[in-house]
Amino acid sequence: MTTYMCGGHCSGWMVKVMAAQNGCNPGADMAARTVQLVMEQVYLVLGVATVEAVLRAAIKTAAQRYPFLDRLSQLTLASEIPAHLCRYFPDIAPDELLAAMDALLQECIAAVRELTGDIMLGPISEEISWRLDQAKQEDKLY
Amino acid sequence: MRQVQIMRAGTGGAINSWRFIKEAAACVATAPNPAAALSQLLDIALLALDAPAGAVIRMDDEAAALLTRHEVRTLVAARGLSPYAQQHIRELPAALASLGTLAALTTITDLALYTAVPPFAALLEEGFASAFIGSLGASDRLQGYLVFWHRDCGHFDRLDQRMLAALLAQFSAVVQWGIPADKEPELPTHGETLAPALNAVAATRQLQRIKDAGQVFVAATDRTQVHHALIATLKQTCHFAACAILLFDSEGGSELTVVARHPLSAAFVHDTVHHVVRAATRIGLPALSPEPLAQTLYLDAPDDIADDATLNEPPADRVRSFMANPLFSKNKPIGILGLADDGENMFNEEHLRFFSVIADYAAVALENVRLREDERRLWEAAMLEHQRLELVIASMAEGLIIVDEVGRITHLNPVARNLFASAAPGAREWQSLAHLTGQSDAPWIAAVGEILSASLTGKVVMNHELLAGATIDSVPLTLSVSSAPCRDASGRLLGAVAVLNDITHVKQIDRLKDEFVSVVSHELRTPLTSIKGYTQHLLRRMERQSQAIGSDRDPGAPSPLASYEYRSLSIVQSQAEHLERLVNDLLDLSHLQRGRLPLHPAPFKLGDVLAEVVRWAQISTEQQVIQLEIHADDTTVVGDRARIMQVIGNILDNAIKYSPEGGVVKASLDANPLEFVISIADQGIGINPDAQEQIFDRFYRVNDLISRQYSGIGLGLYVARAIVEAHGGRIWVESQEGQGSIFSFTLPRLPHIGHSGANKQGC
Repeated sequence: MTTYMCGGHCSGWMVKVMAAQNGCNPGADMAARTVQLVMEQVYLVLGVATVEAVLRAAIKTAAQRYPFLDRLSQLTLASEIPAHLCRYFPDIAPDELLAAMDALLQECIAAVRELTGDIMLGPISEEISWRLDQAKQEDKLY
Repeated sequence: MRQVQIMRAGTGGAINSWRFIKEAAACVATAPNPAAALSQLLDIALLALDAPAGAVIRMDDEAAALLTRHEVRTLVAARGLSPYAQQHIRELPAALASLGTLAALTTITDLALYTAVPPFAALLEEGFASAFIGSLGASDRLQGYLVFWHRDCGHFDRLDQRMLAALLAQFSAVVQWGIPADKEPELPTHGETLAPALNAVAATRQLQRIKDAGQVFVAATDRTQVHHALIATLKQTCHFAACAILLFDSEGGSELTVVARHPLSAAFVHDTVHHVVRAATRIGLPALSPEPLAQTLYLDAPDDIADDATLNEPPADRVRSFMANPLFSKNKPIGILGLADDGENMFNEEHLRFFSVIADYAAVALENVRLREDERRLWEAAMLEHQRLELVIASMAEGLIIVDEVGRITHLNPVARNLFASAAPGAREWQSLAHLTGQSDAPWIAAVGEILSASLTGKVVMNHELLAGATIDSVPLTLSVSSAPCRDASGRLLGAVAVLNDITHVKQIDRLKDEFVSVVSHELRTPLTSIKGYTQHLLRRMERQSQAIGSDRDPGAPSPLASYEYRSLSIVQSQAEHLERLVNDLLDLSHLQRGRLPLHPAPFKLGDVLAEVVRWAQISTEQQVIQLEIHADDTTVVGDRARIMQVIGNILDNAIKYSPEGGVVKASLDANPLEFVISIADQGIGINPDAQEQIFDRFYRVNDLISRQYSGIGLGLYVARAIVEAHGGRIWVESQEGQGSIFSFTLPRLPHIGHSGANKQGC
């Protein structure tokens, strides 16, 4: 299981939800969606230009360990990352893709911390936890 | 009322001060304890009054005792006051008591009265110049004070007194709430929440600050003003010790500026640099090393934006709160803007949002400053270049005239002005060419005008000589004028430029040279005539002797004509004739300079002349073989026989001179219906293509090491051309370096005799 900044774990039910939704690598997809959530929160406070700058720098840094992440450089918005994950990385092993997306997420969070200290980490953590809870509720319905 | 206006402007009239007061009461009803209620009320009041600082202070120990069960201290709540100020206003109750009994609402705007209260005098140092004091408590017991401060002396006078009283009542109700339970006050309840009202007022204030900030940044014209604008704007919303601005230029260079509002320690500056560098890396800016950056940063600490409250405090020791925002230009990050403070948790999300907006303003302002700086640099460089050009034009030894596309003079340098001084004294800039030429009768002025006009149509004129009148040692003032059109990069005509070069002294030298040549050649001719005459006489005598001996000569004995003496005399005669040709060339030159080369045309056989010259040339040379080919039957032409011999002789002399030992020189005569063509080909050193055009100029000799080894004065071909052209023919050369040359000239079958033009360059 992968631990994210909010302390939540990528539990089995979450994996099932993701797998049901798009059939791609669920763990990596989860990490990608978390990146998206983080960037959405950054966007609300710091604007789209900062989001793009942070994301590109994070992709560049993570790509030093996972060179295939360079394929994401063509994207212009963080929101596009989860949608294009399957399309861009059909040839990458699931474990490696998950590790790469996790690395990307950690870079994004580190950037937010450098820019805003602890100001935004709390709201980001709350938002992600809330989303996880929502997803959990939806899973219960099904 | 100002306060009311702010509220109404921000919310479209949905909120007014009285509803705000009612909602303030609602928050009191929901507060868990008096201290929390007072704090929240204080926040509301500050917004409502648009005051930057306020405090709730208990009056005496009895009041404190009543409230101590809720752990309320002397200074119940304070906002917008530095620790230094807070220390002083703890003494406020005693100080106010010295003023006597105050009214329930007291506004102190008189500065003298204000400073008479010692704690207020301390706040004056922080810029707070007026105060509003509300007395708290029941009518018979003063339990504390509610005090607000503002930097503007007249601020509280403009507020609605009824609203102030209502606010005061809320505070008093809370203070009363601290009193034992049997005296619970009646507090109004309200179902609505306070948050929307607070948010609306805060948003309005924020928008106003952003608007004001935008105006300040737009007005900034240099970096210092941008720094000032940044600090002045940001300090309205949050407290910070320093602002850091890291900028990258287009070449990848970086510059870090730290603007301090507070004394900073070296460790604080070091921390700030590290934070900025890490933040810069996180948004894709080039990685920097903090240590060198810390040593080269620019530290600014303007007095007018310093935080007066903290000036006497120890320097900020290290960074405990930091936030950063990228600076963007054309959607690309160009730097980082950071705020740093030594206090913990000094910044919140609201600060971050405002900071983000201000960072965008700052980026635009800084980019504008950079563009202005670039523009100023370019302008200074252009001015310097312009001055340099003006200096060059003024220093030229030649006259310079520049006209624009419509023929108006835009530049006239001092030399040109001097040249025009006598013939066109009114010549000046911004005059048209037509006006210049119209004000003078001198033909050369008109000629200059025509030359410039021709250049305005695209024509280039080179070295056109003009006589400008006035004589110096019998040589008139002579100018060489060159003119060309001026075009921009797209080929559009911008005007024309003409250079006037005074070549009078050159002409003087030429004239002196010509006179010298004429005198010398006359002096040379006399002894030469004698040498040639006596040599010919001796040769004829030997020929007659040979004829007289005739058949009586012993068959085995050598012929007198084969004797050493005869051959030597033949060579002497041939060289004498060669020397005579040189002298004649010099004489001809002087004739040509005077514009006349006399010719004596008569019919003669061109083939015979060619053969005769070839024979005498062969006699004079033993090392080369001269071949003759005549491809015409009738070679009768009309011309000056002697002059044509001179032409052939000059060309043959050159062919022999430049041919190698054992080389072959071929002389040929061809004919077509219109003309005869004589060609003389050698196997000599050849002529390089650049010199082939000039080879027929007077005194021209090819300037290379090989050619300089051969004697000659460079006149033979010049005179040959003049003679040929005077006969209506033409002369040319075909040559390849190292492989020889072919000199050819034509003579028309039909006579065409005229005096040769002397000076091809004259007017």
